[in-house]
Amino acid sequence: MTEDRDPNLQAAYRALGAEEPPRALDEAILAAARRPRRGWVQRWSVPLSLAAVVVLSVVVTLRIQHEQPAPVQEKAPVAETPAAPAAPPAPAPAAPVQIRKEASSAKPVPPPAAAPQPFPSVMQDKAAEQAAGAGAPAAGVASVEGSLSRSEAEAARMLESRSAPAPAAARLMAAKPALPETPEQELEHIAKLRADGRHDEADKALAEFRKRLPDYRIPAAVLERVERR
Amino acid sequence: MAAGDEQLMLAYRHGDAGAFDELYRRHKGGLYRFVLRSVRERAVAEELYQEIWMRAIEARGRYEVQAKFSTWLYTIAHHRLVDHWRKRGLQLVSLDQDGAGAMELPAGADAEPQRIAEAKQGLERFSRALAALPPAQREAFLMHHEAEMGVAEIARATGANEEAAKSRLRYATEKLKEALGDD
Repeated sequence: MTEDRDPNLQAAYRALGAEEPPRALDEAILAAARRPRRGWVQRWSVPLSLAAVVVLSVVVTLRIQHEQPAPVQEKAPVAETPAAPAAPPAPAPAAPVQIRKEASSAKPVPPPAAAPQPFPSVMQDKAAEQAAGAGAPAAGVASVEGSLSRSEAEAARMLESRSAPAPAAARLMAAKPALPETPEQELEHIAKLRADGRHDEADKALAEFRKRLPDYRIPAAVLERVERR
Repeated sequence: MAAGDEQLMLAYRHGDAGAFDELYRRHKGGLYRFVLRSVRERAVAEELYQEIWMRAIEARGRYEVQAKFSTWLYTIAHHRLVDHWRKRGLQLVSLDQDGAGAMELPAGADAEPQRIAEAKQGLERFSRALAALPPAQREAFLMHHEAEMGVAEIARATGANEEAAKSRLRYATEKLKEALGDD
């Protein structure tokens, strides 16, 4: 019904006229249609730029805030460094010894007497091999190092490697394999000194050992080997 | 075979300015008369007409073939006219007024000189009757006759349901036929 146009109605409507838009209007619209479309980038360039500035500012601010605590953390090793230069010029292993002494005195040494184990011969031999293969470091270094637990020694070494000048660190690294880590190893080292005829060094090391570990009961068999006869 | 309106619009979307020229040539008269007879003021009609085409040009990047091009174009026109009537203080109620009440002829309709030829008188009555139609009915009638849109397309372009569009078109047709003395 309404889909079909009534002929009379259509004729009447057509008779009203067939007005057309003015030519100027046509030209204006066609000219606008030929203008290149503003691209996505053009339309969003200003908002995107603003957003980028805001994001960058936030990122930079957060980064600065995040990085600020870092220097504070590094102050700890820096505070230690004056100790190293203040030490009198000494043979290479001397500087590390000082620091390790401080470390060992700061923390009470676990009583070795609590575990007075017999000196197994297998371990003795092994320790002797280690000591012989590693050469002969200074007795003081050996005695101090022996009192440190493995983790303490590692921490001290890291501390020194940060604060000490590079040559000292290199010397420390060179001496590191020879340092005994347990009282037994330390005693074995003294026995080795004694066997080599370096009695002064052995006496000094033994005295240091006893001073540091007064409660440690040296087994008789070992005692024979470390004491001057 | 000539390209369809939708193909032309897609070609224009992809940068073929010549395709728009052809589309414009096909639809400029019908759209112009649709707007002119909707608002009845030539200056306003020209401004609205230009804005409708500008909106179509701006929206070309989003154009997809979901309906006939004429439906898409007259949807833009419908929205622009609604905006226009809103600004003029006319409520959408006016646009949606579907009442089948008696046609309100403009004042002075009876004062036309008797000496005007009968045909001309009939035409005049028709013109006044068209102008006096409620906007929604007139819009449906103009879409039907200028853009050759069916009820479904009118409904889609005006955002109405098909029953409403059908009703508007029927009332408009009856009133105009009555004005012609043709019922």
